[in-house]
Amino acid sequence: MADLAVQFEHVVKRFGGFTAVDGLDLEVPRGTIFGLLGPNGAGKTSSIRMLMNVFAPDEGRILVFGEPIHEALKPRIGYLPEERGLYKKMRVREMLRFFGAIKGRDRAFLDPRIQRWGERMGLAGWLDRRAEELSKGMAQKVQFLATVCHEPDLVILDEPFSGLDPVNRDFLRDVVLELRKAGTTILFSTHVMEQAESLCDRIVLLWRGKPRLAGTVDEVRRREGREAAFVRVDGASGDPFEGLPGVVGVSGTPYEAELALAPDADPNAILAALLARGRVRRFEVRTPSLHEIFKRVAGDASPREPA
Amino acid sequence: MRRLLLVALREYLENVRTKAFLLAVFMTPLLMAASFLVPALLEQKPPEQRTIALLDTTGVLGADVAARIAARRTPDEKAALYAVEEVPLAGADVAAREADQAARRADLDRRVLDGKLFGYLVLRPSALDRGDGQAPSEYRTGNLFDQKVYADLSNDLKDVVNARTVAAGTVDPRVARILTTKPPLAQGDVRAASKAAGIAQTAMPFVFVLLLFLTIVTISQALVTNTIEEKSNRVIEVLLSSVSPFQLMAGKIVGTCAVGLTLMTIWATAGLSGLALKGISVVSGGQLGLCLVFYLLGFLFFASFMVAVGSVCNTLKEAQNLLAPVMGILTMSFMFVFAVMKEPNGTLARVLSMIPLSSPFLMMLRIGSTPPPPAWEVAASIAILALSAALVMRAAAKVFRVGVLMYGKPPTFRELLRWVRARN
Repeated sequence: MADLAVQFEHVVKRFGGFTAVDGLDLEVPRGTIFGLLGPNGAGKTSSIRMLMNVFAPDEGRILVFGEPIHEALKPRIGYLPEERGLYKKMRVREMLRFFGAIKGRDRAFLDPRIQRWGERMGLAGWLDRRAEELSKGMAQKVQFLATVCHEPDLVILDEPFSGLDPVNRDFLRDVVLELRKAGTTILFSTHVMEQAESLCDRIVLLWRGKPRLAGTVDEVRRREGREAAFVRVDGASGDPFEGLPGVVGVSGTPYEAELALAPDADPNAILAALLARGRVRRFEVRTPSLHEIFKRVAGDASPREPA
Repeated sequence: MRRLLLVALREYLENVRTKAFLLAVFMTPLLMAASFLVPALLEQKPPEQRTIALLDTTGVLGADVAARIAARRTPDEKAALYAVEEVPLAGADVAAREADQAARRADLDRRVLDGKLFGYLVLRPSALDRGDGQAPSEYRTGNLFDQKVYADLSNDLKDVVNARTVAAGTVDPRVARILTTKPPLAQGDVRAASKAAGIAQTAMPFVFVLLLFLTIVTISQALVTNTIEEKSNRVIEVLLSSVSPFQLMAGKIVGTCAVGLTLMTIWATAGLSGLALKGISVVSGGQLGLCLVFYLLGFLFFASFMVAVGSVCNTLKEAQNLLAPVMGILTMSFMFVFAVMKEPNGTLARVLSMIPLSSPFLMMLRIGSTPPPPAWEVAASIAILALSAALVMRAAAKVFRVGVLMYGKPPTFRELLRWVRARN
C-alpha cells in the first residue's frame, strides 16, 4: 500500500535471552499522527530504534514509505530520541545548520527556517549562544527544532512531552497538529495516555513487547468499551468511591475519579449511593479513557527484568 | 561522502576553535625548545663551590695537585670551582703518613656526611710509579653521581704526575707532549656546511619523530573524548538518524586527522622557514612527502583504535583502562628511538620499522638518518602499515557500530573480539 508511511510486519527483536519486541505489526498511514503507547520497558524505544535502522530486527521487516529502510531515506525522517543531547560547545545556529546539513539541506533552505522557528519558540535571542548556556527547557526546544527544521516527511518523537512544562507541552501539541496539516506523518511514543488520546489518529499499545490494542482511538475505546463513570463528589466524609455497587476499579482522587464499571453495573444504583455520601457535582457515563484501558491491560505494569 | 565530509568538517572546526588547540600550536614547540634549552642553561649556571680535602701520603704531590684543583674555574671564569683543604699528615715516611691518614678518615667521613666536605682525595705512591699491586689513590665522597668531580680530580692528578715526569728531564719534551695530550680531531656532518647546520641535521630525524608522535598520539586522543561526549549526551542517536555508523566514524577520523595535519603544517612551516632564514636546508621534498604518508597512515591506524575504544566506553576512566596496553606499546616504541638513531640500519631498527605500532615513527627516523634505508624497505613498511590500518579500521567500524549505542559496563577484550569476528 503506497499510502503507508511506516509498516512493521511481525517484527521481533531479542537482546540475549530477552525479547524486547515480540511480533509487532503496525501500519502508519501517511499524514496521520500515530501513537506508540505502553509502560516503561514495553519495547517502544527498541521499535523506534529499529525503525531508525540503529539496529536490525531479528525477524520480520520494516518498511518506510514502502521501502526497507536504507541510508537514502534518512533525510526524509526527523528523529527526536528519548534521551536528548546537544553539542555543548557549539553555537545553537551553527548546530542546527549542521544537523540540517547532514540531512541534505543547504544553508539557503535552513537559515530562514531556523530563524522563523527560533522566533516562534522564543529562541531568537539564543541562536548565537553556546548550547551549554541553555536552560533544560530551552535545550529541549532546540532539540525539537533540530528534528523538524529540515522539513522531513516523517517525524519520529520518542517521549517528546517528558520534562516539558504545561505551556511548552501545549505548544508542542499545536506544532504537531500543524505538521500533520502540512502533510507530515508523525509517530510518537509516550506512556502518558491523555496526550495520546488528544493527539493521535491511531495508536498501538505495547505490553511486554507485544501489541495489545491497536486501531484508531475511538475503535480502541469502543472495543475495550466497558463503560466508565466520570464522577465528582464534594463534602463527603471519607472516600466516597469505596464499595460502590458494580464498580470494579477506581482511579483518581477522593473527589474526582473515573470508575470502571462491571458489565452488569447499574448506573442509577451508583448515583443513588453517591448522592447519599455527598454532593454530586458531576456524573457521566461513557466509554472509558485510554488511561483506564491502559491500566486494565497493563494491570501489573511493572517493568520487566531482563532474563 | 558528502555527509561524511560534513561530520569531518564539524569535528575539525570544533577542535581547531578551542583554546587547547591554540595552546598546542604555541606551547608544544616552546616545551620542546625548553626541554633542550633548560638543561643547557642549567649547565651554564655556576655550580656551587665544592670543598675537597686533600691528604698526601707521598709527601711530594700534595701542593701541586692542590694548586691545580684550586685553579679550576667555573664556565664563566668568575669563581673557583673547588676549594681545597690540604690536611697535613704527620710522619717522616710514607708508612707513617699512611697510618696518620687512616686515623683521620673517620673524622673526614663524618664531615662528608654532615655536608661540610664534598669529598676527600688520598694520594698514594702508586700515582708516581704505577707499580703492580700498589694501593690506588682514593677519591671518597657521598655523591658519586656527579662523576665530573672524579674526572676533574683524576685529570689533575695525571697532569701533575706527567709534568713532574717531564720536568725530571729524562723524556724529550716533544715526545712528552705527544704522550700526554690528545691529537686534535674535529667532527662534522657531511650533509652540513656549518656547525649550526650540522646540529640541525643531526636533530632533524628526531624532530620528525617527535612531531609525528605528538600529533598522532595527542590529537587522536581527542577522538576518545569526543566520542564519549557524544555518547554521554546522546547526540549520537541524532547523528545516527542522519548518517550511517561508518560515515560517522570515518568523518570523525578524517576531521581529527585534518586537525593534526594543520598542526604539523604550522610547525613545519615555521621551523623550516626559520632554518631557511639562516641558510640551512635540512629536509628534502621527498622526506616531507614520506612524512605525510606516515602521518596519514599512522594516524588512521591509531585513530581507529581510539574511536573504537571511545565508542564502547562511557567515561574517560574506562577508556584509559582499555587504552593502557596501546599506550604502553607506543611509549615503548618511543624508548627505542635512541637505539635506532645510533644504528639506523641495524637489525632492531629494521624490525621495528616494519611493525605497524612503531613503524610510522621509527621508519621516519631512519629516513632522516644516513644512510637512508633501501627503498624496498620503505615501501614494505608503508604497505604493511597501510594494510594493517585498513584491517584495524574495519574492525573498529564493527566495534563502533555496536558500541556507540551500548550503555553500561564496557565490554571485555574477549567480547570485543567477538564483535570484530561477527559477520555484520
